[in-house]
Amino acid sequence: MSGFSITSEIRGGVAMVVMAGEFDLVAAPDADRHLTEVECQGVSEVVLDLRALEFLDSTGLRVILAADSRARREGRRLALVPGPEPVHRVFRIALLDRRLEFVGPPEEDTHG
Amino acid sequence: MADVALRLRADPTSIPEARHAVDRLRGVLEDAVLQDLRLMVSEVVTNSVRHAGLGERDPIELRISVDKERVRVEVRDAGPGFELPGEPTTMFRDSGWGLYLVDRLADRWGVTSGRGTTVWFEISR
Repeated sequence: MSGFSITSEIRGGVAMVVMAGEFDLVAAPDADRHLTEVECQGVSEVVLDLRALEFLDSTGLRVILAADSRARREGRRLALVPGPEPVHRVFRIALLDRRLEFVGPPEEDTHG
Repeated sequence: MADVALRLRADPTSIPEARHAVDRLRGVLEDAVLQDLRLMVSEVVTNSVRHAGLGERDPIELRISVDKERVRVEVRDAGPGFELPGEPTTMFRDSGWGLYLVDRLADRWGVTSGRGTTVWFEISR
């Protein structure tokens, strides 16, 4: 029972959103609300860090796709830091690993 | 060989409960199979919770049976069922995503209606 959490930090017009735990129908309303609130802060870029996600299903995927559609419509960049294999596999099966923009981890992490 | 049977409430919290029940087969099935099962069970139970028009007291029954060659999962609810998406484009829409993933991962799957609706699928172990 790991639940779900979503937190973000905005710096220089970039929102770093960290999702952790299991992203399913239980988590979807919170995640969707959080993302729309972040988008209202006038950010030019949203980075979804999925590294701490343990599980993702199509309901979570739809929340991410909706955020991607809003970003495209509103001229914002949406990038994703890929999660562990069980999470990234869902994007691959759905053939979304190429439609969405996946990036490496943020620099501050790679410098420890 | 091994079985899991669970009665769930028609409530979103039943989705993680069903998924975590897959872990009872740890040691019986390989991790890669468990991983796919968790995803497919999550999808099918989500469909029941969201679309079956069930009251909270209507149970959703999950049954996982494992034999030498394959794993069979059945999710039964009291709902009237649903039309199978016919066109690939329809499958990409909204709730079709869940069944699309099941279709990609399962060897066989289907829906039977009678008293309630059963969505079932099978994968090789």
